[in-house]
Amino acid sequence: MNEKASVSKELNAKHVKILEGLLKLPENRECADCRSKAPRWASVNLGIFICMQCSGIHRSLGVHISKVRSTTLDTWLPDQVAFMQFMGNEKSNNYWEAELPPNFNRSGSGLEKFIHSKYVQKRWVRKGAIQPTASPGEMSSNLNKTPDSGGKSRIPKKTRSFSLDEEILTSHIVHVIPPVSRTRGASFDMQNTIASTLAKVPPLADVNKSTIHNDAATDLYNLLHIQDKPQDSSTLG
Amino acid sequence: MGIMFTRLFSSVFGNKEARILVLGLDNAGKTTILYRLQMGEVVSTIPTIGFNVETLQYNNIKFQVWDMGGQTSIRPYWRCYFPNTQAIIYVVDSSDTDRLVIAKDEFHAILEEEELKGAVVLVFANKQDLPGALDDASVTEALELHKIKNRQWAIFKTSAIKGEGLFEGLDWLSNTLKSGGG
Repeated sequence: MNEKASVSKELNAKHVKILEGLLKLPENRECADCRSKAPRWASVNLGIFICMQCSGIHRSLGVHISKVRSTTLDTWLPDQVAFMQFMGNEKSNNYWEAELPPNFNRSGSGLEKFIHSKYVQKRWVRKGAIQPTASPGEMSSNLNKTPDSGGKSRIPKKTRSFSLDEEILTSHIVHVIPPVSRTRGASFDMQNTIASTLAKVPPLADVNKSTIHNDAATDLYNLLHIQDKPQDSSTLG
Repeated sequence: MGIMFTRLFSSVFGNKEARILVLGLDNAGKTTILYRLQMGEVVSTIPTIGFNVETLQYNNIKFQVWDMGGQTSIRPYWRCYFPNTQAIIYVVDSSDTDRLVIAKDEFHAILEEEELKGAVVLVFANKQDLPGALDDASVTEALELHKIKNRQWAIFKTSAIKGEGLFEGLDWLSNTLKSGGG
């Protein structure tokens, strides 16, 4: 299936709110692989939230094993968001870490090796266990929150009731927040990189928040661009 | 006048400089390619938020290579770096067939930019070491490279991990730039 190139701003804003909600669930507050706090990246085919460091390792496995996206810097497709709702770190690790000894030292011989063993060699998957998946039908019904879709679905009740709450929240938020709600400043991953620039950014409560955030980002890029200028004069014509 | 003289002097004594942008979707392998070219090593990478820039001397050209982050929301910032660019290296994950349409759309959007009118284009059909990777002919078709008008371009099959194809691409680039392209 080819991915569509564009997702409307409204849908994107909705996805952002759903993902933010999922990241607040206790199971998703730690990286699925290294257990570090506040993951902001995800593997959209494994349905897990991971930290930036582990996202780098997942990317090296190839997209036939793991497809990495940022929860704050990427545009998501409805099916991908629905699958994150369906899966999450707990359900995923119940499968991938079923045979993992408790207190196993994940970074003992390097996280790279741990992640490779976990997803490529399937070293800790219980024999005969079936990898949890959701058919596209189940996933879209989950995202659309059709109340009677629960009958055939394996989606945990917890997730479904959460989705309904989220729907109310989302529809409310669409009215409150300007369409461009994907602020770069909201990313945890970015904080280290551009902390100094973000320091200039006014509090979130500011009415023009999305505009200001964009300006801050542009300022940073302009700044870097200016640094490049002197070298340009001697480049090849 | 001073700049003109510098350029003339440089071209006679083979000390050219070229500004190169490495673009492509997230996880195409841009950063791995940059450091494979610059250090000759495979480095462990994390997603690039912002950019990396390195210079490398090759075939008497001093390449200033800008590796730009590829996540959806940072792609709009690529254009801030377009002025005075002699070449684009467009990197594609040849095994990520689901996203080739997006890779194509981003690619042709770049080519329409006025500021890149004079830039030559080198496409790397990367990750040839992975299962299911499309070859250069299939990537050419998927990216609709034959639609490119009034511009010198080339495509190379590469594996940044194995170090294959990269310097062949750079050879093409340096020859093209020396013969007046870009």
